[in-house]
Amino acid sequence: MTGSHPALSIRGLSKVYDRPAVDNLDLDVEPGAFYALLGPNGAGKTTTLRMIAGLLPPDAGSIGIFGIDALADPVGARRITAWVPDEPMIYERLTPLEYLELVAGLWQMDRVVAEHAARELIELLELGEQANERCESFSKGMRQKVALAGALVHDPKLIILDEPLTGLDAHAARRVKDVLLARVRDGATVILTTHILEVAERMAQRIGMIRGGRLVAEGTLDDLRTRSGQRESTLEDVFLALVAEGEPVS
Amino acid sequence: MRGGPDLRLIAAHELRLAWRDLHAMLTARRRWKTRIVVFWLTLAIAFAHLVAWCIIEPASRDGLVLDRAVLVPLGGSLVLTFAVMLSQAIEQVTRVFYARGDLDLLLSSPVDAGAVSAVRIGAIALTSGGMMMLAAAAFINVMAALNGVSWLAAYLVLPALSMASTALAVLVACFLFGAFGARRTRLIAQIVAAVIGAAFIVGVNLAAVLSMQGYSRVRFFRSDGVMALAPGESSLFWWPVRALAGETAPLLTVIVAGTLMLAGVIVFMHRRFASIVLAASAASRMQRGTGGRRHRFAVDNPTRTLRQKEWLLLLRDPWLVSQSLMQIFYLIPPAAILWTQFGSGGNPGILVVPVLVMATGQLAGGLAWLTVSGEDAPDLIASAPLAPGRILRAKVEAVAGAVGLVALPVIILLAVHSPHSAAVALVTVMIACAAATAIQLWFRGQARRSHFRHRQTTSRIAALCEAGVTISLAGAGGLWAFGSLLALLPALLAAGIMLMAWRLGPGGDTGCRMYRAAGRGVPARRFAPA
Repeated sequence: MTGSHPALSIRGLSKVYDRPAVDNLDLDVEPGAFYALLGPNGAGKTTTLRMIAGLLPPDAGSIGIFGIDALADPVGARRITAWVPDEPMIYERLTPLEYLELVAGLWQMDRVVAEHAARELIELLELGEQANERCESFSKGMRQKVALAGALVHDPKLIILDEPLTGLDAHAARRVKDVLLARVRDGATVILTTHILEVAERMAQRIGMIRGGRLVAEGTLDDLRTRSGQRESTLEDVFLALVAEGEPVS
Repeated sequence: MRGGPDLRLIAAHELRLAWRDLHAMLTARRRWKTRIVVFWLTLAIAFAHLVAWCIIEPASRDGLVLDRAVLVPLGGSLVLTFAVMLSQAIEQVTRVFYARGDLDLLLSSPVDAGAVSAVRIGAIALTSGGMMMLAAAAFINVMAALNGVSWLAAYLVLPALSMASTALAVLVACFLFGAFGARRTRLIAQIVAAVIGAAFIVGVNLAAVLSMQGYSRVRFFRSDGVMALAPGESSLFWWPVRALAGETAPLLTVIVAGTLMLAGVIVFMHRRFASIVLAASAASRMQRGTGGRRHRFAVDNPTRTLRQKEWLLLLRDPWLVSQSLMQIFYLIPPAAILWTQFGSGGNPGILVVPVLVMATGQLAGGLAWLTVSGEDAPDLIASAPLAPGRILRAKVEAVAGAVGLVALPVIILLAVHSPHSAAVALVTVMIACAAATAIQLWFRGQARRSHFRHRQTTSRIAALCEAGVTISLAGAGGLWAFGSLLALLPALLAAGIMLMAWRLGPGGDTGCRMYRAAGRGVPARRFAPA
């Protein structure tokens, strides 16, 4: 089912609160891509990601994850997807290892595989010393790392992250970026939102920019530079130019 | 303690917060129109006065004379009130120690930490006294109407008792902190508070059961044994009761004693209080582990994983542990009834079933709120590859398992004595738990577990429905155990309340459908896509 299909295929996705949050959005992400979704505050990034993760029902449109219709078979789609919200939600009274154990149980992993993956992630994210401490005393950065470990422990094909680097110190941010790049090298697809444009510039193979719930620009960094007419400029300049003036991508 | 400006600033800040808390409690954080709030408040006040009238009027027909027959039950009620106030004050003092909230802001400002402590202690006394006056106002007014305006002095006695109880609470909490340290005091203080709150009422019930084979506190207070033990009418022991009746010397003594106690504690303990707040702040950042043991990684099936997660979190929640202890505590008198009536041929189910249903219904409601609305990682659960029904089932099973652990021993004991009553208890407890859980599902929201204390204020309707159903089912269970067909009446009332809750509940269809936070377009947590 996951063979030749795009990692993510969105068609006509819409969500309206008191105003349209996502407006007829079309988006394709290829397997193994590192995709950054950028946009100003309130552009609809988080709403889009929550709909992809199956946490919010769209008003219209379709979502395909590796060929699985996420609206018709949400359980099947979730089995290969991981979601990390911007505010890490973990259990204060569980230890990181207990948290990973819970995730492994929910995703029905084999115990040996799960334990190996959990201990590896704990070491990779430098949580070894706190592996048996309850999360209640953890800083936001540590919580973020625990949440990320939870997202990765079941080896998802599609990893969706909302502002994963917010609140992390430089060292922790580097660790997280390395872990995510390693997953992409291993064949996973990463979609993230970030306000740190340097991260998108350095890591993302493709970048989508949305404003008012609509995709206003999409492509590689070079594509976006060409489109903005600023061939030597930084992503920040390109972003400001395209998001400020851009028309929806046809 | 530094001077006025700090105190005034912090006091104004506290008053504003207290007013907003009270407003939120009255309006359940919804934007009600003022006239609707006034209408319901008036109705509630009128009903409270009617209840008070029905209780007090028969005793006042021949005029109320402060003899032993009146002093003993009134004194008992006053001790009960004081125990509840002390329990609440200990709980609140502990909460101030550990809750960060705005304390980080206040303590990091140039404002004197002692002033912050002094105002916080005063605020606890004010809150505790205010709540007790609200609860007792109808009784005080009816007493004044039937037996003379001097009984309005009770409005001065209650704040005095509140000041005394707060002063004692600060001393108890500081002692516990010194004795057990920052890490353990929170749990121990909550347990001490729960035990003090329930000890007197449970103790009196237990004494009534053991001495008279009955449950009535009033009858117990008026029994010959208690009357014989009670001090003489002129004893100083009765001054707090005489203060209630407005006798000048006792009234002044009680007010001065309460004020001096609180003032003394504020003056002599505010520095210690502030240092404890800072120490507790450091403790909340201390890491708590599993004692250095290597964690044995175990992966189970999703339903069992979820169930075990809920139980583990419940066990690690000190507040909940103390609340559960309270529920179990209330089961001691009915257990004593079973013990004393064993082999006597009586039917203890008439008393045991209602108490058991009340205790387990309340417990189930609290646990259901924790598992359904107090989910700290809703996104994780919602994004897991599980059908919504499976998640729901695991959560309901977690509640049922915890309630069963409390209820089953009593039901088994009851079965030895009366299998019929045990069957009735089992059925009624199961229905009460299912009803309380269903209400929490219909009114579920998204909150953190730490908001458990405020669960009643977030949905006043849910809290009222839960209480109404539990009380009705307790009545139905008692009558059924007695073998009366009248049991159908409260059972029908419970069904009616459930129907109303289902209609009013924002998630009240299948229990799994998503709903949106009213009017804000903000999606609330759900178990699965619609």
